[in-house]
Amino acid sequence: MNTQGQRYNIRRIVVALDASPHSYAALEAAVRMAAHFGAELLGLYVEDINILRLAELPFVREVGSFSTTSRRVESQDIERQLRLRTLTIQRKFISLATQQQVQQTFRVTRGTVVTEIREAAAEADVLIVGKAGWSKISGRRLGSTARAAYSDDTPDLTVILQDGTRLGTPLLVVYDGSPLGQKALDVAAALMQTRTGPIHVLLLADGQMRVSGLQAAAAARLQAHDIAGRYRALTESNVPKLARAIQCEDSATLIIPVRIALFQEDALLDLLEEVDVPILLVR
Amino acid sequence: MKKQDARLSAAQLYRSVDLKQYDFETTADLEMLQEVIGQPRAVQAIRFGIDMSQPGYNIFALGPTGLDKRKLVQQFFTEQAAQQPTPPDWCYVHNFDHPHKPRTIELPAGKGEDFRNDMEDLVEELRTALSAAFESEEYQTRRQTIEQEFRERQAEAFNELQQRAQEEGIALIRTPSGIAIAPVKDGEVLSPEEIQKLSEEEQTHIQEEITTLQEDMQKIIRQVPSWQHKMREKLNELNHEMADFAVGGLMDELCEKYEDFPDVIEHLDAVQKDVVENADQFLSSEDGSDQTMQAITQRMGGPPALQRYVVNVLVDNTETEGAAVIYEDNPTYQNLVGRVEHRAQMGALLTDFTLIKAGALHRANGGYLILDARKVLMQPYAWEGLKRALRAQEIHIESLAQIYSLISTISLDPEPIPLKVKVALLGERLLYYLLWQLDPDFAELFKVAVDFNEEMARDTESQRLYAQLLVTLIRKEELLHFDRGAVARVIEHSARMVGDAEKLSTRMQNVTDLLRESDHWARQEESDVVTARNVQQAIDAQIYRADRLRERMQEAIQRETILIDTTGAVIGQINGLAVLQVGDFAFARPSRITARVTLGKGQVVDIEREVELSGPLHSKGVLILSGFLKGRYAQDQPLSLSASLVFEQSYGGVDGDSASSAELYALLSAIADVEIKQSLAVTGSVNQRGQVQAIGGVNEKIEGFFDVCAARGLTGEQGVLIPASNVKYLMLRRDVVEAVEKDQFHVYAVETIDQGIELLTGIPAGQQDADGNYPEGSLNALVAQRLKMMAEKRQSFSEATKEESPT
Repeated sequence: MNTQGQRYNIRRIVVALDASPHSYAALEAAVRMAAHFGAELLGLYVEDINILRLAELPFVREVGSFSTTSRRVESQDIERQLRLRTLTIQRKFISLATQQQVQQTFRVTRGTVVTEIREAAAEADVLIVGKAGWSKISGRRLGSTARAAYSDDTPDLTVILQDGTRLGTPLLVVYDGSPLGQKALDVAAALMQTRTGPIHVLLLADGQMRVSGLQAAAAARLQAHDIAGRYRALTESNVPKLARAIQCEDSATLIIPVRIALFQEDALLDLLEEVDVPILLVR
Repeated sequence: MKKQDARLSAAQLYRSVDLKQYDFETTADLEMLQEVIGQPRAVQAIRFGIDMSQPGYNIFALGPTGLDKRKLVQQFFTEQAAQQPTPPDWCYVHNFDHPHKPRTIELPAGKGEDFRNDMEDLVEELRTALSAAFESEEYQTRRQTIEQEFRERQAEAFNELQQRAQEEGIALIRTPSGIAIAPVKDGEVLSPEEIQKLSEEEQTHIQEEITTLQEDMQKIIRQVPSWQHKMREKLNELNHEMADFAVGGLMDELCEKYEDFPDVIEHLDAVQKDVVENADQFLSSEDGSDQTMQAITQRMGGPPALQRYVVNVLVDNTETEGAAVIYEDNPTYQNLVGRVEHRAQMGALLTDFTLIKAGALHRANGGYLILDARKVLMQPYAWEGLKRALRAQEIHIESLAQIYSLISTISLDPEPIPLKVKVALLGERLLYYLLWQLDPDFAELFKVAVDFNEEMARDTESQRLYAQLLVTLIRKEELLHFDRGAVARVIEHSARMVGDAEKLSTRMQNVTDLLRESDHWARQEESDVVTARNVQQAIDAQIYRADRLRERMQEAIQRETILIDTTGAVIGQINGLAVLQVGDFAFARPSRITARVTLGKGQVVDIEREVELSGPLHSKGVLILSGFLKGRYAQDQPLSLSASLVFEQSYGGVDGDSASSAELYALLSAIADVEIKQSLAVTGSVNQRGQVQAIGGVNEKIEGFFDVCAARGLTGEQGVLIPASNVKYLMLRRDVVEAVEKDQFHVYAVETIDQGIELLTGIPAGQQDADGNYPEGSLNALVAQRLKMMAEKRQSFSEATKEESPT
């Protein structure tokens, strides 16, 4: 990753794949971003070691999601299923990446999903994951991988999106005046590159007094990129209000610093649960 | 009979129009004819047929072509139709209960179009209203609430299970093909070695817990479909509620507009119900996937989704005033009864109620339909289709392909439409009588025969009306006006067209042709008015175009290829006259008829009959004349002759008895051994009592012999004997009349054979006295004497034969 003045450059993108609809949405976003920045794209599928271990325990049974039949977990079956899934994901990855003429690598690893992804993301500028995978048994909207991606320290940018959405304009940046907030503006500007239209900026102020200052700072930052901004202020900042404000903006992509002074540490997780648009977390 | 008495004057040969009866200079001074002339029977029959409203009183207008049957029938129908109410509109709409049986709706004239437009508007408004309803915050919120309830219920169940599992150090793990339950530590499944490290009790506990959790998970999963079903039910109820609300207001407005039409209200109720059930179709986007789905749905049966609500206005009487009068020029089955069209989609033929098309019966319903009978009969199944509709008094559109195919395919069976129509068939007489004889339905369905006259009486009044009729035709055809002389000439030719001086032709087509052609010749001369000369030009041109064969025949006679004498006298030979009809043109063919007699047993041999060239009427004529011979001359002795009669140089068929008098004259001449004048030709049929009877084509026959004589040079001796009863038919050509005026040619009218034989031989026929004898030297006496001699000779031969062979 390079920061040239205020210009943002992305050279390596990792996308986590598990054949779920959300992960395919992530794949499409990853391919488009890689094409936009001319970056390398790594598609990563992790064969969950936990699944393979199930076969080693004779008393474990697998229950069909629709049939409700109970059956022994056989290691050959698991291996076969994992191979099939690999093939499916690989075909999809290569097809999309080739269409956009993106420099691509497809990797399969075996291990703990979160660990493997973390390891791959350490070398990347951007990590893109689906909002939830197949582990969505509980009905929770944010999966374990996405939660872990939120909590990790790397990479600088993490994109979380769900099936049926795509990265696009208008971009909405949550700006609190912090360095991360400024970085978020820079990232937004980089994403705009050839696109037209203002960037929407949601100013998080702890009072009316700060709004004008925040706005001026944000405007100056965007001005450096020759991009116009459209501003809205949130003076009483809490997560539910922030979520509502984001929904009202009707934007296509949300860019938000991963730490916001106004919120508690894990408060943004609730925001990630509620918001449907693609989210770009900035570290 | 004296020659002078039988001879006709020039005045008797042609009945001119007296121009003094006309007080106009040209037809521009005359009014058009407002009434119908010459067809009193037909007019009365048409009026009767129109007035009879009961079923079966349809009309058959019979008569040859050219009588303007259609025009007359149409005129009466139109007059009557104008006083009748305008028929209703008929619409077809989708039948939601039975899609393959579209329903009919009857509406007042003009309302059908309104109804269609209203339904189209309704569909558009429904789109907007339903979109608004289903995009409203209320709907979205309530829908999301229902979905959320399901998700929460599911999540709660799994969460509770997960919680219990977590408390026991167990996790639910998603596999590619289901969910497994396994012991975990720090997020990782315990390996077998780690399990082994646990105590027996702990291992058993873990397994029992896993088994319990697995059973509980199965219970939860089994419940999911039921929860989903309940969710769908709730969503459906919500959809119905929203759709009902959105639709209701719009439908109420329509129902109020059509409150006087129960069928429409019933249909609107069905539409409302269907819209509510299928509200999602109004929300479909217009991308290709939906269109594909629509096509697939359609292929499975039924019209495209929103097409179900449109209205097919089958009969639209918005512009009609009064009842309809329809003439169907191409009466195929489908053009009469209507049809159901199909369209090709995705390799299959599909149809729906919007593709039902009206036939002539639909358009004429409530009014009148005119058809050409021959055309109807020539179209496969058209006659049966027409009869079926008239019998059932309804129009039931059935696909012929479906009726007669071996495989039943899905098609439409539209609800029949009640039929009330008056049908007029136009056709020739033969067609009418054949149908009456051979088709039992015909007499029940077409009770009114409208029999057209081909001619009308000719008198001063009718000639005056005829002149006005000509004015009507002239104005309609936008021709030049005719002067008095031209009008008179046309009227005279009209009489010649029917071959009767006391009649006029009602074949208006022929008269119209003459008017047009006369106009043409007048314009050729750049004249402003058509004169009698132009009319004559037209007549002459018509004849010239048609008489190539006559010209060739006359040429053959002049060149003596065909032998016809016009001077001198010959025993047993006479000039007979036959008429040939070629298309619309008739002309005479003079023929030499000869007779030879020998001793025999009384047979008169018709050589034409012997070689099967004689038609039955000709054979009958010959038998009749032999009956006359026997009746007159064989009362006291057997007829002991054998005679043969022949039309010399005739190589085609001969029929009719118009030459039987000529044949008899030839025979009498041969028997009496007396010459017959070859300067005379004869036509006339004879009966057994020796009376000469009327024949046809008398004008052509006289003109035919005249042409032969004129070509050779008239001698003043030549002429034609015709039956006295034919005098009133005479409308001879101008040149013939002039020749008679100048005493260069003669026409004799005879009533009996005796009159004729006197003219032909110059010898008195002789009347029989009380003793049965004829005056000495009379022709009858000569015939009787010859026959007596033959009888005696035959007697002596027969006695001699008996003597020679006694056994």
